[in-house]
Amino acid sequence: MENRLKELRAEKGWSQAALGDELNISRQSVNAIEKGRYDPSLPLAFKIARLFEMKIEEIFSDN
Amino acid sequence: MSAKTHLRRYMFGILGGSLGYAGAMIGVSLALKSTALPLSAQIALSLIPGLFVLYMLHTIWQFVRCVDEAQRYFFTQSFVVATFAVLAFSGVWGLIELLVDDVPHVPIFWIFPVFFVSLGLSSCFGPARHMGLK
Repeated sequence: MENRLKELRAEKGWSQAALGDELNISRQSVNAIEKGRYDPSLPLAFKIARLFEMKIEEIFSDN
Repeated sequence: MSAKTHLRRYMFGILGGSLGYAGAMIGVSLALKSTALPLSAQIALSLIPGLFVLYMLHTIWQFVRCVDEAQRYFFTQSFVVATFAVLAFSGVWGLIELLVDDVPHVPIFWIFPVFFVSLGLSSCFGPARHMGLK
């Protein structure tokens, strides 16, 4: 699964650690999601979508 | 509690447990060799190193429950790798011992050191290598 997390985080000017704090996950976990090594659960995907005020499918795609 | 605190608690737990285990093994071995104790006391003393093993397993359990989902995913893979290493080691060597007479006997207590060494290696170089345990 691909995602735009890195791009969206950069738009907000947040570090991985800052985004991790917002989502209550570790910096390493943010990095794993950004690099596509880990696909977040549905609750975490909703949390990410709410944080960026977007729909899940605008952030994550199954291409 | 932050991810760093969970990691620190886990590392101290495993390190402390390992040192305690090694110390208890040495201490109990020396005590059993140097004094003549009744069988019940020998068994009771022999259980002490096992307490450190249980403590380390508890530390792992607490850690897996506390970390976030991505960390849990990668660390669980590391635990599976370590478990497979132990199963491979004990299963293969056990078969060799069963089928061949002239090979040295490996005591079963080596299962835990092999597990924790495998866990350390798989955490540092395996699936969880990017998750901050190094």
